[in-house]
Amino acid sequence: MQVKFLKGEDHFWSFPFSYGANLLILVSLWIIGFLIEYLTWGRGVVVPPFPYNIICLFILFIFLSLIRNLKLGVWPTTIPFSIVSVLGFSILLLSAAIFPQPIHEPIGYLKAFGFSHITRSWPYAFNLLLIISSLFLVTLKNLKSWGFVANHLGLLIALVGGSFGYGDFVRVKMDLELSKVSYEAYDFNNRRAVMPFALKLLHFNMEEYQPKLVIIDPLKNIPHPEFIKKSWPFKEGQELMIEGVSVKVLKYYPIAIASLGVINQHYGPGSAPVALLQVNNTEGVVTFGSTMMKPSFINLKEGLSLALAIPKPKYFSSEIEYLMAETKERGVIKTEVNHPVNLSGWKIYQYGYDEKMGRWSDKSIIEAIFDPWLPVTYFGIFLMMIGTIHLLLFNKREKR
Amino acid sequence: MIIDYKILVVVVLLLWISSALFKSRLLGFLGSLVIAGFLTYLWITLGRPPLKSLGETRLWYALFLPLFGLIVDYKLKKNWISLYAIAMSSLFLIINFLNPESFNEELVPALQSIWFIPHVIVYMLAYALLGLVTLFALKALFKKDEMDENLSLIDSLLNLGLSFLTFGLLFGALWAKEAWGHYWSWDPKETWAFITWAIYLGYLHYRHSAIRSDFFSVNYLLVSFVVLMLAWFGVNYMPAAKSSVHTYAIPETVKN
Repeated sequence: MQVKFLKGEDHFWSFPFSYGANLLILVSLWIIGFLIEYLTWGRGVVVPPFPYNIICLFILFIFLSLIRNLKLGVWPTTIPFSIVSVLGFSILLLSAAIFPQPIHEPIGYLKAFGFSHITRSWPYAFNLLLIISSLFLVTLKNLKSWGFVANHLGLLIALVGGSFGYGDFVRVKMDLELSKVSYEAYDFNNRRAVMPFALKLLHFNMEEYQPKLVIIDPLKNIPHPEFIKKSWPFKEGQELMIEGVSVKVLKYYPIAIASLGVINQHYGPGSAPVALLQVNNTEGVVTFGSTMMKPSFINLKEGLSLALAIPKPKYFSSEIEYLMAETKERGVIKTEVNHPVNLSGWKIYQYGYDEKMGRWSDKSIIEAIFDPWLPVTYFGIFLMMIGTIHLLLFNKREKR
Repeated sequence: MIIDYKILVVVVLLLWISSALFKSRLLGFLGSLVIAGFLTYLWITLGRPPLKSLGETRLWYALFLPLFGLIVDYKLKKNWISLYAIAMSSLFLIINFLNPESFNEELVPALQSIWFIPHVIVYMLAYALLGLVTLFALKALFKKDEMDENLSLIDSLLNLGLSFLTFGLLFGALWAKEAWGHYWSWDPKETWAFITWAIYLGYLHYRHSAIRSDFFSVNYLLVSFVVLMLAWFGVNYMPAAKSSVHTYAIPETVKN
């Protein structure tokens, strides 16, 4: 059954605006945004820090509260407005979804108009402001329904925390070296800053999974395109059938150095997993190499060779001593992936290490994040979860 | 490989083809049970949840979709819904058959989190429900006289699907904060997940509008499912994929 229009539209700009009118307004704002990007050499939007971001937010909310009974204030509460603004936002995001968003790129038309940094651009900011305004006004209009309020207010708070709060968000990295003190951090633009604490890497610990055998193209020394998804785990003494060829694992050393066919177990930098294999009565050493030895492969059959794939890390962590600049408080923290550590309002994450050295890395890269608006965003997320539970529990379609 | 993957696919497909031929919901359920058994076996043998790779998530999809189809069949006292669901799941199993994977126990540190299981499972539940919604949308397109009935069911299922999609998105954000430092980084996978969420959210709002078109609603859902597929699989093939933490790199064999 088709639902007909209840009253005919007088003209394109009759209130409440139709989908077409909303789209036209949104696209106009986008065009203005792209022009601003162009005129500012693709600089993007810079969200002001506290207290200016809060002042802007309050001005916006006061303005919206004052106009909520005017047509201008009713318009963002209509469904065509909400659908057009959210789907339009998604269209803008397509540039981030499809193309890589490089941070350091030369000026080209992509950067000049904001496409290469769409989530920090003026069209994106205008679109987001429309969504935030809509959520605020629609919440004010439907305060009686707790599920509705939870969903819309939750999203509003989460978006505000992420957007206005970005002005106070700091994300920097610190390169720590064993037994050396660092107090300088750098951001993604390589700008350096002194941190309110000094850090010293005491110990870097890493465990790796056992490497697996893979097939490579011996002429190009790269993983063979036909066997990219295949790998063979093995144990010492095991006999495997790989592509119809018998492969015997004579010996396996998780930590060794192989040189001129001689394998020495060695615990320290430069050592890596080494396997001694027998293929077609030929013995050969297989390793992916290290800072002290070259990679080595063994021929499997014509056009195919066996290699050891560099194993994925199982676990890595850093033991770090800290010294607070102001309070002179000292202590030791341990950073692991998925287990960040709080340090004076900063959250310290285990970001990376020297991948060339692998488990012998004497360098640990940590990320320090300062996000005072995080509780705001978390509260928004929590409200959204409550709202979603409401949707689950009261899953009823309105009757026609 | 632990068990020949292809045997599993053949066994399940045989059960499901028989289920279609004999119109037996029990055989359909048995097929899902076999998949559930395989996933359990995989979980125990690998020592980690089998939720990591695309192939593994396709298995969960092939598990949940027919189960939801069977539940809806049972509630509405029909028998065709589960068949449609089984047909779609079979397609995913065939994709797995043609793209065999070697399962390994490796789980990189970022995936070693309490959020891993809830985030992925809730997403697979959402995808399965939205897959069922798409099947109904297709049916509504071809049987216009049953539009009201189909749309009514679609709207109910969509509310469920969108709820799970929302939980998946939010769990992902909370996990990202613990693992990568920020709850939202506009990673390509995150961006496509947001677009998928927004598009289904748009549908929900559209259906609350006083002025709405059934024909437009149904077609909207078909486009939405394409976006969902792009978010699930398509991301891996896009230029932005290299910068995504959600895609898996080719194994390296040389370290220097």
